[in-house]
Amino acid sequence: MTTAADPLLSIEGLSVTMPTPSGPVELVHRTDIEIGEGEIVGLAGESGSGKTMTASAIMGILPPGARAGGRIMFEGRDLLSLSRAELDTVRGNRIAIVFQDPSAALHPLLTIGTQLTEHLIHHKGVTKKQANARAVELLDLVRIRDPHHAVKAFPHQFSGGMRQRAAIAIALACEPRLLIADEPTTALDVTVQAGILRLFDRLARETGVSMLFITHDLGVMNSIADRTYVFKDGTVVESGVTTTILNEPSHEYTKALIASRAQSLAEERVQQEARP
Amino acid sequence: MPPLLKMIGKRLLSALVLLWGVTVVTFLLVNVVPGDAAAANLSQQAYDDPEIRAAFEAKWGLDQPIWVQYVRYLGNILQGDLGTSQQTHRPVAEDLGQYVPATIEIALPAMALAIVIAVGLGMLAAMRKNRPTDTGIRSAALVGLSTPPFWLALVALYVFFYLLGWVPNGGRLSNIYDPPPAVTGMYTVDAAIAGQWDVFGDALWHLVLPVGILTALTVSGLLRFVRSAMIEVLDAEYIRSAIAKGLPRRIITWRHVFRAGLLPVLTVSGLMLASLLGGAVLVEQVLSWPGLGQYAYKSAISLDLQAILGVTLFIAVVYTLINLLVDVLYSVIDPRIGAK
Repeated sequence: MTTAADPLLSIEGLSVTMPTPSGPVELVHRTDIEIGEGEIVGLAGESGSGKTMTASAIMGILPPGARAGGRIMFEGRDLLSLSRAELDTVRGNRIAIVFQDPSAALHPLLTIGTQLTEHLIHHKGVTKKQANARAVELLDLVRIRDPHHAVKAFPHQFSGGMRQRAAIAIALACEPRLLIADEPTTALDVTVQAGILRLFDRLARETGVSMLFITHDLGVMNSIADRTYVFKDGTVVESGVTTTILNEPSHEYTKALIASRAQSLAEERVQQEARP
Repeated sequence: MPPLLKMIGKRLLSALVLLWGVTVVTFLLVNVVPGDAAAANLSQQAYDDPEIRAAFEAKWGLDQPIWVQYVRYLGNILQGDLGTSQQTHRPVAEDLGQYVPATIEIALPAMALAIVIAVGLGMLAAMRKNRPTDTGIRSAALVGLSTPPFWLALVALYVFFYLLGWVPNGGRLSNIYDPPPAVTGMYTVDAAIAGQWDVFGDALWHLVLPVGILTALTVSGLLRFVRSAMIEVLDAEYIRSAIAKGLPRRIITWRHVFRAGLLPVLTVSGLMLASLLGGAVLVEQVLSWPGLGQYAYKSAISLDLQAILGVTLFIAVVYTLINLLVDVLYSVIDPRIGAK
């Protein structure tokens, strides 16, 4: 589903370089990515292939010393050329991110309610009372039981899956147009992964938010992404409609990824059958 | 019962066990140290008379088994009787009541100031990591840390009293004033209670130098901990989350970074406060400040055993109570601890 009109987000010739003792290393190399309105776009690739660096470049949270080149166009502005203050009006507000490990990404000493409302109050100028009411709505939206009670809870009182649901609710608080999900199921138990994936799928349909979904797992990609970019060594080696890529991969690397996925699926099945 | 009260109860109980352990050790120390109480306290003539010696030993229970003596010793402590100082010929408890407030009067303000300054500078250094501001702050702290306390006290006295005349030449009060009626033993507080504002001003003026020196020394020690704690927090993923939420720097700094970085700082601050309350011997000596440090020092060089034991017991109580306070504050700041 490529849009003929201007895409919501358009990454043009993005490169990210990191200084190392043996000279600068290019982690992302001249990458082009487009995300249309309401589209779910996947970024697939092994760890270290530059997927997370791409997401960090969009959010302006690259590691210290890293430099981004090229353009990241969003709502008519190049995010890479914005000042910190200008970028702060975009991130958390128009673009939000869900990180891999909710146990590390949520502040351990602040209540879920505070973490749900602080950016809402800041970006939307709503009162604390309005924000609290919205917080309860949001927790309900991500299917956290007893949301009135949950807003007063601290992250450690939640299970891993609930923490990730809370993190998703936090990301959605300001009704962003783009949601970046960086390996959002990788740190979770296999048993709760499917629930979180279904949640993303439902949220995309219900709220119409566009998504950039990052994962190393092609099976996950298959169940969620409309289009997929396959990343290798910091650049896109193949892109297109997800089902097409999975059924008729043209690049050797994609074939290898699919093969390794089939391998691990087979291993899982053997393990499951071996269990009493 | 609320978890916090339960926690405090548990901690108080273990504190009591700890303090009991301290009394055992101090008691054994007295009995291990070679010496004959009768010989020390009786004249040679009386000592040579076996009847008088027996009467003396019976009076003080020295003829009893050691555990009976220990129970008696414990009973005395519980009644607030810490024995009599050979040096001042007064009850040790009375001496402590006089010297401890003088130490508290400089230790508490110094600690409070040091925390404010060290946290402020430490956070600034952490946020400007490896930049000139950070290097400057760290160098200053290193200089402070490498400066011998008595040297700093001497130089400060020379500069601020002798050269500039801004502060008095040590002591707690100018000669023209009498100490205010004792309530807390802290002159500033007692003067304020009595409404003697000229005495209050003079006592405050005398606090400037000792408090300033102790503050400088404490800041130097605390700063490194604050800096490294804050650097660790700044690297945490939840701070990246806060930045990705587009929050203003003010909220990130105080709500997200400060709160999380406070925990490790709290532990170190507690230990430093306990150490300050144990008296700063060298600084007190140079500035003629009659605090616990001086009392401990004088007791030690004259082998005033009862006084040494009294000071030891007091310092043990201080450490125990401050650890308890730190634990309580910890669980107030960190909900994960209260839940356990």
